[in-house]
Amino acid sequence: MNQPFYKRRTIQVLAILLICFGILQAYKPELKKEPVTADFNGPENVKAILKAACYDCHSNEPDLKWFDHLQPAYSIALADIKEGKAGLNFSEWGNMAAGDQKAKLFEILNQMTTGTMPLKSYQLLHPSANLKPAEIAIVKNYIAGMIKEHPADTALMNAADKQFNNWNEQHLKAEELPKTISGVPYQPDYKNWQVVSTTDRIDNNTMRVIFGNPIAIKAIAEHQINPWPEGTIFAKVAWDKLQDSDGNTKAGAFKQVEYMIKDSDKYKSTKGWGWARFKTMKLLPYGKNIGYATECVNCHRPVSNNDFVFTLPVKH
Amino acid sequence: MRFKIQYSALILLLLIAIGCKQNNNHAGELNEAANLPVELHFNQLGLKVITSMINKKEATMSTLYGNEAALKYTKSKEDSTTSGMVFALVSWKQQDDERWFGAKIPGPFQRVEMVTTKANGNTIRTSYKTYTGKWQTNPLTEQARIKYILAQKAAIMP
Repeated sequence: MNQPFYKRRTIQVLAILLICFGILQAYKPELKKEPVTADFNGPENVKAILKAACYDCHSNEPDLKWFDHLQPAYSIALADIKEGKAGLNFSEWGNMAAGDQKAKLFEILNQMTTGTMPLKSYQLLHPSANLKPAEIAIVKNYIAGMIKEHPADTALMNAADKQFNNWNEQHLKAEELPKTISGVPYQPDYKNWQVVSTTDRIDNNTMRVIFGNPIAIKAIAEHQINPWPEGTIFAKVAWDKLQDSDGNTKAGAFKQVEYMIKDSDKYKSTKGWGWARFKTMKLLPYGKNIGYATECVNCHRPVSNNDFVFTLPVKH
Repeated sequence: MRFKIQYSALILLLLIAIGCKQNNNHAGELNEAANLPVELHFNQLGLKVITSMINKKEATMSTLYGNEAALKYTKSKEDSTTSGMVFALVSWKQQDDERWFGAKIPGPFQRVEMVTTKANGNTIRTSYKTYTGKWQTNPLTEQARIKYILAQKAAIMP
């Protein structure tokens, strides 16, 4: 038992590990410095919270701690920063249109309140990112202040009238149907499906009907919805809200129709769902590059334990 | 060995602490309060969505359904009723969407109102009934309700 110090097995193993660790340090790709061009411009108390909890991965000003500079943590940090900035970069916040900024803020808040963001793995070693309820309340209060519900102006009403008067049933042939860049197709039959639920979106002044194809409706009837069966399709249609001075609201201009199509093989890389959005009466597919579906998946992460579906189905 | 147990316990506690922070989002559940009464067999009526509406003052939301004749009427630019139309207006009290701050969804189911039209000689006869547990007529308000339902236009669905 009384071996010399350097012969002890533990010491030897530790030494080998230390050498490996040392070699790892040799690999250190550069973290490219990019300028802050249009930083987030909300109130200071909100910004301070976002800086502490989000900016390391979602801005051009990552504040890496000493241990973040050690491999393999460094590589993880770099990958997180790259992915984080692709989805949201506070240093380029001002380049987004006002409506997109507002939508993003609601998404940020919902990611925070559900504990989806900041990432748990990141919080473990970065306690400043561990948001306290009081901090989330500050962000929530700021964002809730952006909810503005008021009677529709004439522009909104005219847009609805114009659309209605020009609306003719389209009978597109299969090969003419629009598709997203990744090939997820528009499905004209949604209007003949049954309803899963409706939503009143006070964050962006739209109202929505969520349709389900017969497979989805059967799954609801049998209460087999987590996971949803293969072949399930949801279509969510959004319209402007047209509110009168009495608070009665009806559907205005058509904004978009969005689909979630369940096919675990075909859409393996996007959580088993095909994601699509077709905007305006021209049904313009959303997404300039193949990565658009990552955006869809990321926003749906708060409901990852519910097969990425937000809608709470109503049995009809 | 004791070392290992201590570490495992620590990791386990850490995982529990992380797990506890997740709020319950009712995964896999249905919107029970909003479900339509089973005895209505609503889906089996074969009606399609015409439009939906919200009443902010009363915090209610509704979806208007109809058969093909009703759909055609609400899509047309003229206001001439035909016989054989079936309308069903389903209403709920609203509730906040626990899964999305900024959204409201159907809460407790309130009622279904049905308007049907029938040819009666040269005129069109309209009838009204409402379901809130059982089907009833409502002579006091039914003219106003018929007028409201027949005034709706189809929501635009390309």
